[in-house]
Amino acid sequence: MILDNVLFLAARTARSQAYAQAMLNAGMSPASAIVYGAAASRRLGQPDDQLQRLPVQDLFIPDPCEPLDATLEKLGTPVALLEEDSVNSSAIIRQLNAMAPSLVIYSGYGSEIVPASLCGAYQFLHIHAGWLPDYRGSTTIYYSLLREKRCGVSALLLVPTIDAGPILLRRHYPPPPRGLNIDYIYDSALRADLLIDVLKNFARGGLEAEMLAQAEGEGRTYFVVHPVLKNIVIERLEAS
Amino acid sequence: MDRYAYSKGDRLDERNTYFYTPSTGAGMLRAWRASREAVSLRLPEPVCVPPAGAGSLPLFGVAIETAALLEALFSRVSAQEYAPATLRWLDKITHKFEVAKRFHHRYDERFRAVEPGEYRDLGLYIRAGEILLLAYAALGHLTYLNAAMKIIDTLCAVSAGLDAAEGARLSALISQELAAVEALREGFR
Repeated sequence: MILDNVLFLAARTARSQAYAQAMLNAGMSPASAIVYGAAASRRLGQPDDQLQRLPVQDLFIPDPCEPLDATLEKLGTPVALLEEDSVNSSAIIRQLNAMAPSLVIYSGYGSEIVPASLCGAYQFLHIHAGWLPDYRGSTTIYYSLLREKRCGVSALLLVPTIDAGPILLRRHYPPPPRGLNIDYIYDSALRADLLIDVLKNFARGGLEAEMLAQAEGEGRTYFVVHPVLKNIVIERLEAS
Repeated sequence: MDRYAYSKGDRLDERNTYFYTPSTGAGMLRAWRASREAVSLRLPEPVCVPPAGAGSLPLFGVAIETAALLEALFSRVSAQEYAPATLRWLDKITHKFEVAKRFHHRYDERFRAVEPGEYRDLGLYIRAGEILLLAYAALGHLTYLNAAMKIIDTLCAVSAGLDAAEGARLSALISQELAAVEALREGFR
């Protein structure tokens, strides 16, 4: 199924690979895609031998070794390849304006902020690896595991304030199995799983009926998790 | 054995980002503990310094002196007074350190550093760490512990520059941090 007037705006990240592979697995393809960033992307801080593709029941686990371009080719999606490394670049904004999509599946780099002008002009669908509004901000998958021993994922439309836009869908997931990398595989797999359900809803008739507004001041904003807190989680999972 | 790199070098100049840190589980925890214990061995016995006074918390949206703000905040959290203004300031200093990894002497009405090149008053970092660990102990918000641990990383990295009184306070911070992490780890089992 081709998703009419839906654009996949993808930085060269593990998350974008997961989204593309999940769409392929679900038989859905965006009408077009923009892929941005340098082709030789770096995986900071993670040796490749940790990136094993372990199975998880009822969850599609992406292959971290399959390049994004290869998956998009299988999808048959027309792709604009841009070398720019920021969603704020004028080339990306020009390309977006030329395509005028009704929905943007957004998968940018981790610390990027989508400019208010773009959020206002288009519906940017973002999948956040935290249960909103309780877990806003960064690396919330670890905080959620520490607090609740489970993960939450939320689909939302972007507004200028981080993780504050209307929520389209939320779901809780169990902790990852022992040995499955969280940063690059499990986090991406959970987001991709929820993305597919949002896209199914979109294909059935749009997003508006699902929206849940977030009240200002609700929840907490988290910052990049300290390595010790992160590794308390990893230690527990390795012992399980 | 893993090496704990986040409190090595001058982390005030070369700031940690903590992006995509290694996922080695128990190895990382052992390395962190060994690093903290090694710093503690070079420090005086732990000492906690009480609040200097019960000054008023500043209003929001005005220029502030950081030391005065932190003393007023410390007096509130020491007395377990968590009024809305206290909580809001706690979140603001957490946010400020998490983003900048530095504290400055003064901030303008938009909470921007007045002198961006001045960030080496270690007393500010020690007081902020004391505040956040107390707030974590009282309220249990991981955001406070997370920021406090990053502040302690920074202080350990520059601990050679601390005077004896400051060293004793860092020693106390490390003791409290180790206990907080162990309790969290036990609770997560």
